[in-house]
Amino acid sequence: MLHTFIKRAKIYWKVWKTIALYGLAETFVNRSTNVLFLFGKSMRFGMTLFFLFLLSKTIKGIAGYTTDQVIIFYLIYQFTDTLAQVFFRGVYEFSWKVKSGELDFFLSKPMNPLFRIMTGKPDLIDAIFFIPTTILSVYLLLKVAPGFSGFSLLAVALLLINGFLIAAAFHIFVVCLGIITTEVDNAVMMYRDLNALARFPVNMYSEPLRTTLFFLIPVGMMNTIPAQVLLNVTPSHSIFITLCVGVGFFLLSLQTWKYSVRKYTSAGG
Amino acid sequence: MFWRGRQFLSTITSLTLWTVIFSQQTTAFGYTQATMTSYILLAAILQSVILSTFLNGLAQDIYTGQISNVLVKPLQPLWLFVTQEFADKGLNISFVIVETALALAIFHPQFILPDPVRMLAFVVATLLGAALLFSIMIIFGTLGFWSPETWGPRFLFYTFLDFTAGRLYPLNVLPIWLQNILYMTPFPYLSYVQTQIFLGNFTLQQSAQAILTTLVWVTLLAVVGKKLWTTGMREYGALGR
Repeated sequence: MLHTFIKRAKIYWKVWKTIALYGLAETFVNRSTNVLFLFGKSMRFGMTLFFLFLLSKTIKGIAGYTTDQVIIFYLIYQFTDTLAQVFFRGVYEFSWKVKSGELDFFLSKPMNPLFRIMTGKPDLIDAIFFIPTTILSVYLLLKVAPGFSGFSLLAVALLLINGFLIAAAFHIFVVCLGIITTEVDNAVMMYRDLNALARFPVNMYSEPLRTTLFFLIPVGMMNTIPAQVLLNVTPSHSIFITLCVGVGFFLLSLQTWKYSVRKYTSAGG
Repeated sequence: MFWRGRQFLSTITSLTLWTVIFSQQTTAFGYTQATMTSYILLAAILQSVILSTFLNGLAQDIYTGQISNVLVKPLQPLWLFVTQEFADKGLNISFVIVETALALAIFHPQFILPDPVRMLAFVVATLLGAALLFSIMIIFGTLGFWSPETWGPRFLFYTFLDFTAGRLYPLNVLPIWLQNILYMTPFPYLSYVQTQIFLGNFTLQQSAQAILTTLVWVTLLAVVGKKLWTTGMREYGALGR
């Protein structure tokens, strides 16, 4: 059983590694565009931090948090958002695969098609961007919240994995929508915008938006709860509930995937 | 529909953030809750009027040869783009009316309508802002004559615009030195100065100066755009069509 699992994992790793290397080669072909992308992303990150620092000099706090703490919420959002883009950029080009019928090739291979669709184009620009921003985030974190325990670090790691699972689920839902309607571009950007609501603590929004962002579109579970645990403040919802929502949301996305594949007619091919 | 939903979400985030900030204090960066809410809402409306554009796909149309379908018609392409731009803005304005009504119902901003002279200045500045974006989009579009890599520069432009045409915060919360640098670029004239004219934060002299500067930018960039378009058309080969 374990042997079979390891053997399959090796195959999947080899496929992903090959695709990632192609992606890397492509990155170097489009050097100037990618430099501009990298510069733009860095500028957006820097300008938002700059705005938050400006706020910290002028205002007392936001929704019961100090402005320094609000920066941590933004950094956690930045971390989960960039990580999802590194792995799931392939989803952004998925509608073309449905329209052209290329999806047929994924479905006929002896490999989980969802894996190929989701991880089919790792974004190496985001991977490059991810490294310095994470180092800077850790540095800022140590300045803002220096005293966290081993337990809270473990809990945050678990919550970040849970957040990644929620991000994966969002992308699976977008893929499902792509199969049924061929509409992906706007849907995936809509997800990005909904996730951007969690740049700030989600509990600052009034009801019913707040509950929606924690349970229906759980970007709050993905970003706000890990930041709260990291800052050692009482989380809006318990870790157990957060994990249940994360796993439940992921399982629901898999069920939706099964449903949408049954609806696929290969009309484009 | 999705696009409008995204714009509305962005407005809600900004309005909520500032509402929460003002729940703990009466002023921030010289703004009261009423003036900041009015600013954010006005910026959102203006961004839908000025920053919505039909020309985002122009560079790709040129590079892929798709533009040939326009060129074979007995029409002036640039004037065709103008009419398409008007139609696109009309569609966005019809949506923004509904969104604004919704935001007004939720956040109750206090708008004080400007006097007729300011209103006229605001309308002129808004039309010029739309013309400015059109000229910029034509310049970005012409990149397609020479390169397939056209999305990078536009991404950078829009990223910069996010922070300088200000939906999250007004430009004057930034340090003076940074504002002075930004005023040397076209970015503040793409919705920020229009909000300041409407809200009465600019004197009539400042408003006239802002309109004049916008006009200079429009003229300059329109000339550059036209020149690039003419040069590009001479080199255009409709490769692969």
